[in-house]
Amino acid sequence: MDATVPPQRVDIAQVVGEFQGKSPRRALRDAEAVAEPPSHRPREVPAGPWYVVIDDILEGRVTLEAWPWPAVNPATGYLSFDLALTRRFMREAEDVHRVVTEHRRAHEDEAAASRPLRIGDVFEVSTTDVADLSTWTDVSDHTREKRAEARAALDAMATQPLATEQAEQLERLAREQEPEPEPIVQLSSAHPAV
Amino acid sequence: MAVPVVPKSRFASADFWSAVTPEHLLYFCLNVGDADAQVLILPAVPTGAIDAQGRQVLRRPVLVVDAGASNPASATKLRRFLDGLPSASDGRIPPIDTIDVVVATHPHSDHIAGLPDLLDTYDGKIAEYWDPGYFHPTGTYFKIMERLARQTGVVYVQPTSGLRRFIGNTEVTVLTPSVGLRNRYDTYGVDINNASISMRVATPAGRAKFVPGQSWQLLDGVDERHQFSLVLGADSQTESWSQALSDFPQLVKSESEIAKAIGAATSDRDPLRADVLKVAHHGSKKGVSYELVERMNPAFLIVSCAATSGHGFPHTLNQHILREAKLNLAKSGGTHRPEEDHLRGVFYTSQRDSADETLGSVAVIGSMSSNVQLWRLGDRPGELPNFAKARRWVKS
Repeated sequence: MDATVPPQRVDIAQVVGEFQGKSPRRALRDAEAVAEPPSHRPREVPAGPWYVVIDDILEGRVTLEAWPWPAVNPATGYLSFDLALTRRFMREAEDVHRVVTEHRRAHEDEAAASRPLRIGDVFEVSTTDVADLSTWTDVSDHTREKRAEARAALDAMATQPLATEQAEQLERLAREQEPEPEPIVQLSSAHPAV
Repeated sequence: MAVPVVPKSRFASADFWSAVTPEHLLYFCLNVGDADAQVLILPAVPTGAIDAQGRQVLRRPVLVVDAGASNPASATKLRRFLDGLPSASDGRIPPIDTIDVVVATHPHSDHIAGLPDLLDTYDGKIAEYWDPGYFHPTGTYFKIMERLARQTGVVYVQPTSGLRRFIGNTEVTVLTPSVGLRNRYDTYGVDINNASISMRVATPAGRAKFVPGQSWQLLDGVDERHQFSLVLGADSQTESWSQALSDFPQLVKSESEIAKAIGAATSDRDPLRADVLKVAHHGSKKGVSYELVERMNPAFLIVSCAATSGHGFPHTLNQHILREAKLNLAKSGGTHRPEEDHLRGVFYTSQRDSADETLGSVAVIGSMSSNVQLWRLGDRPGELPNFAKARRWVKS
């Protein structure tokens, strides 16, 4: 599994072409119905890493949620999680931070190693029991790309998908645009996004 | 931290559905542990169709506010509750062919875990979906986005304070997040609870009467004090509530000319007044402020929390705020004696009665501010509400 590969995006025109006479959303639904395994599939935990998110931090305790690492549904372009295998557990923030920092250092990511835990952090964890921090044999930080994928998932849901040509035009325009100067005044009290 | 018991003698067994008329708004705060799952069945509205007897066909608009769970057993509870309402109500609630609005107050799983299942089951039957626009990289969030993308005809909305949506004769006013708060927040690392959509729901919304041969006229002296109103607090925290107190100012009577003019225009209203407050964040110490509860002055305060909470909900500080706000200690010169929580109108979904029976989900029936009824439905978090076990709370 290569986490650096961007999510596969559906070519809406192709999907619509395959389901002629249907709206894009209806076509997506039908395409997904074909691609999605039947609901009675076995619920054994598959081999492989876990997708672990910091869902909340409250009074020094961290609520973590975890799923087997998701695949991209090629028909819809969305990350697909097996919600029947959701694990939710609380741990001391200090303990989670210590484990995460050790692995960030092992990956020679000193910039990340100095970061505190934050709501929305995403880790890929190799483990035999995701709820037991002592079994986390490898942890890598995927916060940046998974947050970007969550933002893209919201955008794709809320808006009409761009035609391929228009998307390419917009990206070309963005590449040609001169970079904005660094802001002099910090206007926001929010934490900077990664 | 302790959830107090209620004397069994304070409940009267009765037929829940016999108490319901088409004008009533029904509010269900389901017992799902440290989580929120709420259903509002709004007063009936005409569909425009006429039945074989020449009568107007009515329908009940439906709002779902969160479908969360604190454990997998209760993740589908709200959906199963909706499915079973027509038979449980012996046909008084018709099969639900439209959910008018689904609100995902914020993307914590104790508020959204059951939404993928709900979206699957009611695919094509959901008119509007509201969330705060706070994207969160969890499996449940991705699943909801995927499910919404394939829905046909659903309108997606990111509301902020001040939005007012009329559904039949009910008005829904969004209280939080303020637009200022939302524009200041990134969705990374900050308190996700402050993104929560909280709202005031009030009925009847109508203030005008039709007089044959004349123009429409305002009802004389009728304002929000006469409505049945609920404030659903989601998980909004004190930072967010402080902005709501500013966005919805209380305009009190004064003898100044300007104040009189404003009062005449606003009927000396308090836009936060509520008969029922669903206390924010499961009774967390940051979920309410004294000033907020004092202004809302609710008859009933409902805390959705587990009997044994991993976060220690309800927090003692929160309980003290609710109790003191209902006691009016200063006004009484300290002469009020402490009362049990239920006598102050404070109830908890995880509560038991003095015979150690589960009280379970809370149901509230109201149509105007008088005669608001509170019922308990006897279910544990993994069970469906049992209307055969419904009991009405009686103050005396």
